Amino acid sequence: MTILEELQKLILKFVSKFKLVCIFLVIFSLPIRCHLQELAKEDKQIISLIVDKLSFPLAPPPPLKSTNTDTAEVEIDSLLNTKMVIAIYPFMRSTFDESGKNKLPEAFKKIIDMSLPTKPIKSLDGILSTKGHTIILADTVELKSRDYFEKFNLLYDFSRIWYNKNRTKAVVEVGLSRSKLNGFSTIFCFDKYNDEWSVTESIATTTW
Amino acid sequence: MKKLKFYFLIFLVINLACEQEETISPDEGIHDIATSSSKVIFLSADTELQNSVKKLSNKVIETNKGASMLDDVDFDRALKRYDAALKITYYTFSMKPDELTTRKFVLRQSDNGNILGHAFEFEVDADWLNEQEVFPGWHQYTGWLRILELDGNVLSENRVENGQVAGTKNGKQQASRSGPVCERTYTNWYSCSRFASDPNWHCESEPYRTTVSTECTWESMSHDGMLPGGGHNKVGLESIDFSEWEQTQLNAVEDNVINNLTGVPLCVYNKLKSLNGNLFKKTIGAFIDDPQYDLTLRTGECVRTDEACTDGTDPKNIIITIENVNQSSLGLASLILHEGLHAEMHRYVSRYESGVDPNNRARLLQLYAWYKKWALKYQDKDYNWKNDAHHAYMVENYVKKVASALRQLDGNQFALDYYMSYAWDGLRDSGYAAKKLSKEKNTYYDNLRRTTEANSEICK
Repeated sequence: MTILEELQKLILKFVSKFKLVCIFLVIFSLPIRCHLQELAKEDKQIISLIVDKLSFPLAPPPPLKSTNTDTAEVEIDSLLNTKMVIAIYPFMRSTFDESGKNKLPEAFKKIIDMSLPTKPIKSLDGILSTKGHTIILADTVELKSRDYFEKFNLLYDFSRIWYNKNRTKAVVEVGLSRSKLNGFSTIFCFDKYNDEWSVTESIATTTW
Repeated sequence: MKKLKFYFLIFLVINLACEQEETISPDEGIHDIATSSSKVIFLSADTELQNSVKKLSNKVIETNKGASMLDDVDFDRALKRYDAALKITYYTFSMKPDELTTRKFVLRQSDNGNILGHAFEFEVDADWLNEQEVFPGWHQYTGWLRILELDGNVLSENRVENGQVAGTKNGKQQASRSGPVCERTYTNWYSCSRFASDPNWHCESEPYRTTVSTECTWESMSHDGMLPGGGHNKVGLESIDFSEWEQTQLNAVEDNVINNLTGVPLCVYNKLKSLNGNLFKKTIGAFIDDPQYDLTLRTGECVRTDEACTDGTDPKNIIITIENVNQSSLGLASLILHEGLHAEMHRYVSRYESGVDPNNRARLLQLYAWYKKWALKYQDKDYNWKNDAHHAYMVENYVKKVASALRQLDGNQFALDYYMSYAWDGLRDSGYAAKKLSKEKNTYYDNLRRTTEANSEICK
């Protein structure tokens, strides 16, 4: 009899002896596991907040050889009122920029747990733009094609959002791309005051 | 020193030597670049150079001549050479080039303290250049060679054809004899050793390094004491060497770029490096400008994108990560060059902010100020505006240069338009209206890209 067969036998013996305990463990661990992967109310609030915070059309540069330091008001108004199509990457991966992590205040650094699983974003219910932007879920297969970026204006890639025990502090790293090779990532630290999230620290990480 | 007017007759000399290989005989022992008479020095680390530049600047202020010329000189680093026979120290600096013109600024200081500055301008003949697949070497150079004073006044303007002086344009100066303008020499360096039991030197069969030096020599007269013995009618030979600059720069890249690339990206990077084109030198090669700035290249994962990224948060230790390796060599090369541009801009601005670099990229700094203001006033303080400034600057300065570098990498297989789509990657939304890529052009370039994708085999 091999070691594997012996181990199997032992497990079966344990299960038959402690049937009830095993059933209890399976039933109660599933929701916990699922809960870790579901979008929480706070996740949706923070995603919505960031989308409104960072979604702007690209501002034009000053003309060459100009000494102008201001753009015409009309142009600014039209830019700021532009409604955009925002795509969100459908997985909040548990990855984080290591060099950025080292720059975080201790209170935020310690709540990052990269062992937690990736959270899929299955639905956009509860993720809203108060500025009237249209939000869609990105297709991960189509994202591999260069042309896919023509279907939206901005692509957001959120890391998993980590919270402290009381859910009064949160950390997330956000990637924002205008095209495959035009974007940046930033780490945001949030604090909750009077039931509202606000950014208390932001750290720019990479560009592309 | 208004009294001391310099009357130069500057002639180009002679003796065109074809590219030649010098084999070090075993008797000469171990040779190294350190034994070369020229060496790269940095302004920030060399008080002698600082004094010389200061002295020249004072002279410019005193005579009120030459401010515009000096604005184009990159004083940050120089190739230094001492001519013991003439007792003159030569410093060669880079100057802002344009598409067809290469310029070098030469500062000369004699042992008795006299100081002079001149620009050497090589304007290549565009028609001749178009006929060449690659630059064939200085022995075949065709174009103009001008030697200019600090105020831009042309002292000598010589037409050069196939490496030979063909005449002068302005008649102020005249070459004394016909001959080559500059001479390019390739030198192979071999590693040799000798044992106590065997007095003979034993050298490796393959050279461990090849250096290239280009020397341009001219006859100098009425030098106001620049040449030993002084006197206005003194005649002597002087020379500058500048190609070694590029070679030394390339060698130094090895020391300051930490290369952790693997697989196809490594192969593409090595080919870009061996071509040592202008864009490569000015981006990744620029990191050797200051040993305080390191650049790491690696293959790996970018946290929030699947393509490539640059971490410039610590400008003294910039990291470029290439993630998407499943693409063509041309695609990878454009990624490396694009991220190299980001890295170099981070480096330049950091140096400027620390007061080391002169403000010779006013437009980039204007874009920084512009996009910062935009973010703070109209967007959000946490918006990373630097990226928009970088891309706007790339649109204005680098699209054709990236395409040209890719074309060179691809052995000039197709016309430049076939490489433009790669160069526009990441920049299609950037730039002001007149510089933006139109939809029609974008489609046109994308169609051509399919041809290059199907036919280019650079690294497998």
